[in-house]
Amino acid sequence: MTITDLRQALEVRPRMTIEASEAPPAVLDDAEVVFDVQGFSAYYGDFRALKEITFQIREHQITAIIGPSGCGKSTLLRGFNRMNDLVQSAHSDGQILYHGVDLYAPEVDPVEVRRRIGMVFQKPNPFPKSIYDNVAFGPRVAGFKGDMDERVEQSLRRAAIWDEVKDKLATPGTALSGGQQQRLCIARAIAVEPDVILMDEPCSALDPVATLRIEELMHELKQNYTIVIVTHNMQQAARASDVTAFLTMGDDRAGYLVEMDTTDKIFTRPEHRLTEDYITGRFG
Amino acid sequence: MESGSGPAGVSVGHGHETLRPTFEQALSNLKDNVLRLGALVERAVERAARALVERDVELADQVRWEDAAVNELQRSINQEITSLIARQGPVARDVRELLALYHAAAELERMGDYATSIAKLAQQLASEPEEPIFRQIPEMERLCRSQLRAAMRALVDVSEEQARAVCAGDDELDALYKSVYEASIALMERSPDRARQATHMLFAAHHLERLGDRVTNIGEDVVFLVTGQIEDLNP
Amino acid sequence: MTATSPSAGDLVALRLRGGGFDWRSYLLHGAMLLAMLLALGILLVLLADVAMRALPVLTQRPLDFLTSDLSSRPARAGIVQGLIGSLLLVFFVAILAIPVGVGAAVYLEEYARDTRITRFVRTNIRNLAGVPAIVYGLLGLAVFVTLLGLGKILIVGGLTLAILVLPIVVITTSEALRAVPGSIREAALGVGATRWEMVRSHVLPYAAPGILTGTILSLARAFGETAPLLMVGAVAGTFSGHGGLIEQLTGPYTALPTIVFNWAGQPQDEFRSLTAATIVVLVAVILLVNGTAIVLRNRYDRRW
Repeated sequence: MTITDLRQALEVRPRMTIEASEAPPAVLDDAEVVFDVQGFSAYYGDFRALKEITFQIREHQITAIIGPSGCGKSTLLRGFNRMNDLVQSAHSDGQILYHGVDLYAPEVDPVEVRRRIGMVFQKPNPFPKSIYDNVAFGPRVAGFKGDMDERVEQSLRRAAIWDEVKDKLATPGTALSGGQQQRLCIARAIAVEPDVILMDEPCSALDPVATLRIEELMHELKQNYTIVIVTHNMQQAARASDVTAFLTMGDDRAGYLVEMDTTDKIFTRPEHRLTEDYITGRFG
Repeated sequence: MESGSGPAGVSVGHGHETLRPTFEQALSNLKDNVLRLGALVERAVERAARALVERDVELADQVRWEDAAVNELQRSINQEITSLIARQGPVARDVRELLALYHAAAELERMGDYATSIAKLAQQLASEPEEPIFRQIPEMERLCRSQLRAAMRALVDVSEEQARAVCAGDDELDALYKSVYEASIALMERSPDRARQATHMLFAAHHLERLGDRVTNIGEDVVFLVTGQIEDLNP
Repeated sequence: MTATSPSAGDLVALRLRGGGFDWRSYLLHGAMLLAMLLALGILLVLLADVAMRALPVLTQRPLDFLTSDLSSRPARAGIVQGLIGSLLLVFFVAILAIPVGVGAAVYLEEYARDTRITRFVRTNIRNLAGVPAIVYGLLGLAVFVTLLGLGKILIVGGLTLAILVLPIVVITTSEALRAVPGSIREAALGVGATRWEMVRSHVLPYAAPGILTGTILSLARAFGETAPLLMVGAVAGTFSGHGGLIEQLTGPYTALPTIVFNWAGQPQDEFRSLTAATIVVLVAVILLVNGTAIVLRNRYDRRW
């Protein structure tokens, strides 16, 4: 290390507070913007879970959203595919533009939204049906009229599970191991040919080997899809993502965006003390 | 996409496929870069010594100019290693490897500086009246370069044996330096008007000897990588 | 070495080998066993009593008993009209109560928002399940027989029983639907299914065993109801109704429970045996239906 490096590393940074309305810098990139989040606030009844989130998510990247428990990461993720609609008391302010279209405009059909923006959940939840039917369900309800066998095979291949299940497509999806089930769920999400894949802590119920396989799978997938992943596992965010957004909870228990930048920057030289404290494990 | 189970395929234990191909690829690229750095430095040493012997001022200029590339490459290697340590959470051999590469790159950059210093000496000597150069200088340079190549090979092969051999080979270089020292003193005593020339020779030999020491440091890095112990192999 | 106080190891051994006889636990165990035996015993005694009384008829003229019409002469009386009547009634209950009940439950569980009104509806459906059967009889009499002027026909009996079991169907179907894990619903919606596609393809198949069990149990219940049938005019005496289907549906009718009611009230001794025999048939059918429900449920449960 040179003397300058050493000096920089030991530099004590002043404590910074960030106003929620302050827009963080757009991540240096030329890739097209998929989600343009503008002042998005989410509520459950009177309780504000997210406060004026503003950032952008770009195409063919893996964007990780990290932060302590309860800061609203999942709420934000579910905001992207209107899954929050399922909770009766949920409502929101601000906008999320998907390729320029306001996702929450009254004329937008949430069913269509979910076809384009797929989701993989925390606990693998394959349907209690055959592996084939699991993958075929999405295309069927979307009105797919082409070669279903081919679509199923392609989806299973892209989810890196074809070789393991190609001889037992008629067996129940629930009979697979945890890691395989999750890859099956990924195949199921891919089968409707979405634009974006949202992942809500997809590896938290899996063992380390299964976790690493899914991380490598994500690297392949990002060539064809845009991936947004919520994770409380910082090491996973560091390993697997291109861009990281750090959310935390304010005193009013609403989540707000502290910092968002390339993963490299966040994990080697974050701008904000809060970010650094969180990723070094000095506060949870 | 025709791949069957993708790159993250076979279960751990088979030893061929890996669970972390991205990390492995990054490590592989990093090692390539360190080797490239070694190649740049080797070329610089060779040219600097030649410039000294052949009194080639232009060649010396070139060596000084290309030092910037050496520094730049070392900087980018540093950055890459910092990023890998921060993001991939390496442990055990991985982290030793990264530390060894980090240190080796630093040593190589210092070696590049020595080559530049020799080039500067070459430029100064060129303006002096033509005098035969001590024969030990080219010999030291050849030895340095072969040591450097051996050290790079030890790094690539991750061979403790090769690394220790490199460290042992430094003795010859030290002996050569001692003989240059004696010759310089003798020359200065014999012909005081050639003191400047003698001093330049001495400095050049000194740089080469220090360069050799740096090479043994790289050997020690390789031993550290393999055993996890830091040994002094060049007392 | 003689030790005056036990070592730590000794104490542990002492505790492990039992600090004494846990009489409290055994007492409780015994008391609960007794309760079960009591309940079972009462039931068995009743059934045995009925079976013994039914023995004369069942051993002497079983087939004749099952295929003869009602008659004022005990030696010739049979329950075939009751069997047909009961079967037709249950059929009506099935086609009326099951679709409506399942549909209502699906709406309440899958579509309705949780408002004061829906909560009110849910509570009241539960209340309706507890309303005495005879009230439904009165309802049937007032609305179907009198107000709508349909008269005392089998269809009316079917309608009345259908309304009676409707709350039960709704409740059991609701329970079955609630047992479907939310993760399956989320997964289906997440892939771009509409609510109905989700319900049809995933929720209903998953809940089907539970729904099936619930409906079969409610049919068994309808099979055994007496009071409402009496109110809406199942014939308690003898009649000769035996025409085609239409006449069966629109003419006088009876059912097994009402036959029991009728014969139990007859003075002659021979009717004791007939009554008991009818009860045996009734209980046998109900046991058969319940047994089928259990078998079917087990078969479906094993699949997942």
